[in-house]
Amino acid sequence: MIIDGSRLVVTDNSGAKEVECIKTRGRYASIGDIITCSVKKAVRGKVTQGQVVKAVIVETKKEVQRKDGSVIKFDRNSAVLVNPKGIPIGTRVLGFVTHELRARQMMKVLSLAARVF
Amino acid sequence: MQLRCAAHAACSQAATGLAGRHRAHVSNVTWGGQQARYCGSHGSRLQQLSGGSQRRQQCAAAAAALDGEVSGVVDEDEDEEQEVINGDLTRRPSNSASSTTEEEEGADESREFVLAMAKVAWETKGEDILVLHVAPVVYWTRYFLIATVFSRPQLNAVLGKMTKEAAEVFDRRLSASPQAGPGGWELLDYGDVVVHVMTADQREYYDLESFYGAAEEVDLPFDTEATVSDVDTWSKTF
Repeated sequence: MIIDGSRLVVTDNSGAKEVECIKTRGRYASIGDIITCSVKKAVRGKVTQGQVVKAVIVETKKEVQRKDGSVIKFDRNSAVLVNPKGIPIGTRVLGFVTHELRARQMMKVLSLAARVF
Repeated sequence: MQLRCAAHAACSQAATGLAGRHRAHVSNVTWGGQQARYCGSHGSRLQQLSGGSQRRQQCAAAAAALDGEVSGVVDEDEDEEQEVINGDLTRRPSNSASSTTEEEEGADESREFVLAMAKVAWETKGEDILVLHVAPVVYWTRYFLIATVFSRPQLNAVLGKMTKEAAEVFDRRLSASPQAGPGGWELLDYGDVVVHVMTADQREYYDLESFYGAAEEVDLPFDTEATVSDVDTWSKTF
């Protein structure tokens, strides 16, 4: 349940470390949603601090339910930076991704991820 | 209680509450009611707090998007649960209930399909066609097909021909047929086969080959060396 103002950890190698959500579609955003963010912390990389970027949420503390009845939740809220077309800006996704992204046509992010749940 | 992360010794310190700076690396993942602690940076499991791997297995088997490879037997999982696992998280312990012959048939069908797609890419003058058998490496698919194209019309052509071939010959349809967008990377997700069609720049940038270096290459039935592209250094107009 990510809202405007939520801070998310960036789990790719784009250079950003932390972003703040500034716009969601609808009230809450969850895994697989693309949100607009402002980069709050960045190291040398493809993005700089203060830049407005889009990101796809990959981990949430709020559990997500699956059709088989299982739920999955993580310890933190994370995102992966993407361009407006949904193509990742970084080249690798560290941390976890779930296969909810597959249903949301985010297979590119999934392909670059080492840990898929 | 021994906690180890193969990749990062600091993570184990964090898990036992010793090192303050690396605490953030530890990630608790709760799934199916079972909680496990993972190194947030590397994904290695540090400790499993609750027992009962069987329910988790059932959730795993049911939740998987497709039937993955049968890897190991049920006994293995019980052992794994006791000890620290530093292995590959994408590999799922499975129920022994799956029949291996069905599995093999499915794998053969996927192989046939991916080789047919590779042929389509080759016929459309795609370069560096690579088929990777990723089933032992990831659970969510079996084969990867990566091909390089040189222009947007060619990208469209490859995608169009592949979707057509898949729909007509193999009766596999996509919910939305992709068109070449401004990024030079398009992806076709057929469940057990994932096709990546990229421009040379994007291929080099994302470097999927090194990421899936553990996967074995599948030999193609046609001779890729025989095709010589006339346009060696055509900069795509993306």
